[in-house]
Amino acid sequence: MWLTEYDSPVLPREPVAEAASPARDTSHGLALQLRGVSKSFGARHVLTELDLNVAPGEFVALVGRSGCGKSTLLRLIAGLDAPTAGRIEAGVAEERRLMFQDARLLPWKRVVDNVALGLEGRDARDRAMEALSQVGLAGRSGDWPATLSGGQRQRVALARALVHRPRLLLLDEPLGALDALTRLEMHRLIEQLWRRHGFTALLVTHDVAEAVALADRVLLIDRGGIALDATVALPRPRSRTAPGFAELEERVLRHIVGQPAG
Amino acid sequence: MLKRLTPWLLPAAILVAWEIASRSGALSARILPEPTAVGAAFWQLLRSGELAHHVGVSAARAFSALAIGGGLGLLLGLLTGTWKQAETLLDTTLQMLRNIPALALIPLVILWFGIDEAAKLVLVAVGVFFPVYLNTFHGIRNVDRDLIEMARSYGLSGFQLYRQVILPGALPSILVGLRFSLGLMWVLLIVAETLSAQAGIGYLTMNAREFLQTDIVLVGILLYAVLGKLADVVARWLEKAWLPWHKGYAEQGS
Repeated sequence: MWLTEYDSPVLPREPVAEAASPARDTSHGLALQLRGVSKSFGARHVLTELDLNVAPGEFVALVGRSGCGKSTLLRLIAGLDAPTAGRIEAGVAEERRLMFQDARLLPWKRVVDNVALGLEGRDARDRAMEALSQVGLAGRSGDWPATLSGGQRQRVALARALVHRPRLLLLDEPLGALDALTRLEMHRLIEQLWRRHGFTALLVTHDVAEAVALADRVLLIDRGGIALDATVALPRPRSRTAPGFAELEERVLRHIVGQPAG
Repeated sequence: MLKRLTPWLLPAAILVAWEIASRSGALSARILPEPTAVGAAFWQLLRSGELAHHVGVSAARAFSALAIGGGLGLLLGLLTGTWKQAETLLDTTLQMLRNIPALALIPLVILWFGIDEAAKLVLVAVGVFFPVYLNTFHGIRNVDRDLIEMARSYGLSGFQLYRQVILPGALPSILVGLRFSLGLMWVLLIVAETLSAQAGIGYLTMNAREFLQTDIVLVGILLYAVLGKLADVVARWLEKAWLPWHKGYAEQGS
């Protein structure tokens, strides 16, 4: 395990036995299906005839150079933009939640009210508090977002997404702006919550090591399509020094720079 | 201690010099009465209840005009900021009218409304309308698109989106407009009351001028200054009370 001393104040340490057990209820997850999806902005074709299947509860990472269309793909799946052609089956809007590159917290709502955004009913606040304690921020519930650090803001955004019990969680480079230690902490948190809740996760990232550390499958998006579909069979939680980790990272990186050696 | 007193040294020196000049006769009381005389006049007006009466009349005028002009500005600003059609229909007209100084309307206002209360209300209301309108419009338009996109994707729409995202996002700008209007309000009121009035601070000073009571004229001028400052304090207080989350106004701690 990496850097546990930084994790422990925030996260309750997961028992190793549970972490190692492969049995994980994925029935809550949503199956994702894309057929012949294309997206153009004027004359610029960002995605062309893209097909993708994601199993319920699977953790998929999308990597690629900047501008390769990975974020565009995520926005299509989130329903924020419409594809130029093709079909996307990703459940209904209420079953999907998106975490943005920036936390996008409402500065005029206190932390707990940000998490409760869009929740209805008497227990909205209680549910928001529970979600906050899952990300280790129950103590900051009454604070203004402006007083939080970047990592804390993304944790609030994560709680806000999870409080709706999404069947599909879309993560649009949510850790891109965070420092290295905070990123590792967030990796553990996201993985732990993904294991507990059983949702399907789709993570866009430019960091190949992050993709290999978290995902069941790493997809490389290049020239409008999927250039590589690599299954990550390493046991969780993953260590960067585990056998096979560096090789896989190297393989994906080689594909990105365009020299897939045998 | 000395550092806090230093800025007051010059005003104090001027007051003392002024007092000496007036008492020695170098400065005619008709031009400028000594500070103590102004203080005495103030005290007398306060005790007779005249001061409260005139300030009350002026404040009532100012704030009813602000309510009318500012209220209309807020309403139309929300309208044009929210609906593109309303903007297309109204904004060009309002932008043209905005360039007419409110004071240029005085002859027309007198012709239309005479020199009664209505004329003063219209003059001030027209003046305070535009700062509130413009800042409300821009406030609504400049609400972070990313936040609106986020809120929509979290299921907010219609009135909920308006109440929870758009309005709070526009509020800092709306309050800037209000603060501008509060400043403008007193300036316009002074002019309106100087034209003609049967009560109010303007009446007090113009009446005193007729009888060469320069001390009361000075009291009136100082009253306007105090009221203007007071309006600014109220605006700041509103910003602090309504924007506790805002970095610019947030108090220490949380």
